[in-house]
Amino acid sequence: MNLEDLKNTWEQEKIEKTPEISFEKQKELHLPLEKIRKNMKSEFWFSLISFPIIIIGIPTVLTKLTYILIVFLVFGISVHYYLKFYTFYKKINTQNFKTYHNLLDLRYELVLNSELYKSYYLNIITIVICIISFLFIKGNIIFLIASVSILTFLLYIFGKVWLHDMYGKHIESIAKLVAEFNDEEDDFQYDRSFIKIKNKLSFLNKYQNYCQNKFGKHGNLVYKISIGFIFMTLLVLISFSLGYLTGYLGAKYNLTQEIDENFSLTL
Amino acid sequence: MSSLEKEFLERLEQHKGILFKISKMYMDCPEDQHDLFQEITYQLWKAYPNYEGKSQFSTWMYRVAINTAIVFLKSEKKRGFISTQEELNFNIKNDDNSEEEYKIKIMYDAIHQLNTIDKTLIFYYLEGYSGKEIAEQLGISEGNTRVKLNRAKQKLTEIINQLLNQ
Repeated sequence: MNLEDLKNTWEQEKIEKTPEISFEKQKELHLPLEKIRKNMKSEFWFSLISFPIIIIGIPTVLTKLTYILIVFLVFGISVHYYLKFYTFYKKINTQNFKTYHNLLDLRYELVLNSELYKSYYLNIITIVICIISFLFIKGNIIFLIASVSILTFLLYIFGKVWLHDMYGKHIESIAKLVAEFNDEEDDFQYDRSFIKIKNKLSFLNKYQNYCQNKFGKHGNLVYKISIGFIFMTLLVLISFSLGYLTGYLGAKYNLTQEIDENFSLTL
Repeated sequence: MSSLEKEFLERLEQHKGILFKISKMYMDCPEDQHDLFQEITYQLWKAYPNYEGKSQFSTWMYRVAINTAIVFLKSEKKRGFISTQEELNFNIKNDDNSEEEYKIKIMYDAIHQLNTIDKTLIFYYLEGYSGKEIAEQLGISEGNTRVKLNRAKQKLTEIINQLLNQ
């Protein structure tokens, strides 16, 4: 079959039956932008509802005023960022562009938004770390520094994995298409940070694919829940081991230094 | 139904066959073809108020359809869970051994093995677009388009020959 035959075959193919046309959005999302938009929406409600509940769990450390201040702070930050995300996703419409320009614009907008998301994440994480620090400030200083360092590191890794899952993989596939149009790489790099998460944590992609193959449409949910569970278990285990080790070493060698009990947060 | 919706549906009715062909080019699984077709019509409807009529409706429609198809993400559902019987009704009946249908099957099997950009180039080629027109649709230079198109055609011919010799 040569190319002329192929053209004839293409022209002769008659599509007699097509799926029914419906302007209602499908239940399953198939475009990167729409997936991100949906994630944003659920995260917004999740952060608004979960944060006050989490803080209620630690009333012994925070006074009522501190509690209210923190809730308002988180609420303010969340609303500010999600309003930005909302206007961004409302505005974006590149479907009329030429194909190459559509891809370039989509890549640019997604990168811009992932940076915005990073700054939002950093804001919230700083507040979380401060609260955790308040919890342990009456303990010993080694334990405090070690706990906060490990928590920060784990949250950093978790944030990177989350961000890659949400934006990175889509940006990378769009960047690949852009490169195919050009026949050459345009020096675009999604992950410019020192620790390149993609290579180090490629087993997570394999695990996600495994979940999708094993559990079908619920695969992504299973993947997220299990990763969250592993993360929390790791966090608890590390915290417990660290506490035990610090206590043991402190008692044995008298290395720990008690912080003045008067130095506590009693706002 | 608004007059805009009515006008759009009338126009779409004339072209829905070609939109389904695009879906079949980009997706190999019947359910994904169905979903892509729905996604394209939805995106066309969303973009329709911005259609200024400067180009032909089909030219504008192809652009939106291709822009949707190249970033379309396949279904996350496990293939084994899908009841393909209904979806297969939209497809060619493979048990019918007429020569024409055999050729169509070979054509799509070969196209599925191309990368996304080559599929796009081949689509415009099959629709009879010139190198200049394809370059205009894609937003890349004419020279680049011709080189890529020749490469894609060569690749497609090789794949077809391989499939026919199997």
